[in-house]
Amino acid sequence: MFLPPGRSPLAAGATIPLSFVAAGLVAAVLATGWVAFVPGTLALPYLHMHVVALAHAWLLGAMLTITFGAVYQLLPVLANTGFRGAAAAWIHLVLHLVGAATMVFSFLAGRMELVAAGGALVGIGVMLFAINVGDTLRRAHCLDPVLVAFGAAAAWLLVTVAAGLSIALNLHYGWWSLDVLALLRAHAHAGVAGFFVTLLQGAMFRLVPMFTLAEVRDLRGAAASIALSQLGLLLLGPGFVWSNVFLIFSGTALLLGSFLVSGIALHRILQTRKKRHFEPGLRGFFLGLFFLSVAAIGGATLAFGVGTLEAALAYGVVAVLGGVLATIEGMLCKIVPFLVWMRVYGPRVGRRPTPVAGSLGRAAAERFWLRLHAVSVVLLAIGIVFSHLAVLAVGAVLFAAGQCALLVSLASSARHLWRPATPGAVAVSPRPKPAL
Amino acid sequence: MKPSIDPEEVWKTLSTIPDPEFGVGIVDLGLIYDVRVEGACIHVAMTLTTPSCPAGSMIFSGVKAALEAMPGVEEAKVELVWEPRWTTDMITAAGREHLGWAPAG
Repeated sequence: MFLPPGRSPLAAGATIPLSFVAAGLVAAVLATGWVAFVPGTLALPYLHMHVVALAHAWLLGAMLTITFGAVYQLLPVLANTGFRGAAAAWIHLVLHLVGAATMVFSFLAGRMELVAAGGALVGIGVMLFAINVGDTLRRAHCLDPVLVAFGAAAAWLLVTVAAGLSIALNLHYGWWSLDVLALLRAHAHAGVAGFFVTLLQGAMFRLVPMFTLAEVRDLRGAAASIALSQLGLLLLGPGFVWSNVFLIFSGTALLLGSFLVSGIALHRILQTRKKRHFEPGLRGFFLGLFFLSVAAIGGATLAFGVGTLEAALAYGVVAVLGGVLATIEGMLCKIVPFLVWMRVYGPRVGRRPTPVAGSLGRAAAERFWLRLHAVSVVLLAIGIVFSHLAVLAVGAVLFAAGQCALLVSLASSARHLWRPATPGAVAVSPRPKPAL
Repeated sequence: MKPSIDPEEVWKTLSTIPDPEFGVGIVDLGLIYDVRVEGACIHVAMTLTTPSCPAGSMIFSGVKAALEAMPGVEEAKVELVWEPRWTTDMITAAGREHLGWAPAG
């Protein structure tokens, strides 16, 4: 139940999750710079190598790296097992960063054999990650739907990497005749919907109640939504590979159903919350869920063959930058200050005044990020659909400004690692304004 | 003869320890179930919002440290209990107000 004394709830003293997060943020800065300075990349056809490279810079370089760090920290806590496998996690970090960077630059150079080499490094890292997840789940006292979702997400990630490697190798060697576009769709959906959405669907039923002091009376809603999404994904994959409209439509309908069930279950949980106001991080998380729902509806329309190539790219941008990125960054606003607090101020509890974890960041900067992110994703989508470069450029600049604001807040939290607040400067318990 | 320890002082000391996420004192969160004073020894039964609370071990050791720093205290025995299970209904009116809800009445 409760970790025995001497066993820290932090993965390697938080150095592993924080290192993954820091590396992911560096990738996010570079990818943001790319969007801001070359917004025209988003006006290219979505199979253009520059678009593929940008997508991998975001998904592999930034989002996946950050998510790995979060899972290494979060999963052992949720499973009450304690973290194990620090050496493998460090090797994973190195393999992932080298592999992801190799892939992005090789896409730009059109060198598919090097893409495959980078993908192999990423793949070995993903295997280490999957083994760690499996080991943690094996040691858990009981497997609830949330923990099962973590396992399923790891499995989808393995599928994604295998599919991606197959595509890269086949493009270079031409071993067998394949519909590359169909495989790419399967690869992209296994990664974005299979890994990220499955993970989100599981984790949110633990994280949101934790951050809002809400009651989770049972996990039936979580179980139903995860089961629906997994069934939908199992139909979508073969549907894309064989270009089978019935399977694609059925899979999309099940995914939409799973979103609806998740939304209803989350709404019920939030109704029991004892913390009235949502902080910007949680609002960002909800914004991401909203964009993911919009993308799911857009995806359903595209499944019917309605829409242009531009609409397909806009769908991807809304799902990835609007949906997945906002949920990850929203949670970062909560997780980074908490990890810093645990490392710096946790040992001081009861001995000296300690600040509240949420006060380590900058709420105003996070609110700024949230607004800019919402507006910029809409502008980027409009700019892509109508191939309007000026709108794209404005959206890109606003997006970059939002990312900068978020970085300011995260840096403000991280600063406490080196410069902790002195006891006299600690605001022990800021009291929010009560609702009337 | 050593001065006896006032249980009210023990509660006051415990109330200075905030939950790191919400800033509400652990007393107002309803995490302290029982306080008993026996001579120079304090017995506290407490819980956590969830067994997987990541800050649990730090709050637990912080409670012990804060109590043992009180004048006249020789030992603080802190017991972590899971029955009854903590629910959000255990948050006091002051705690709810701190969390952004209007005072009752």
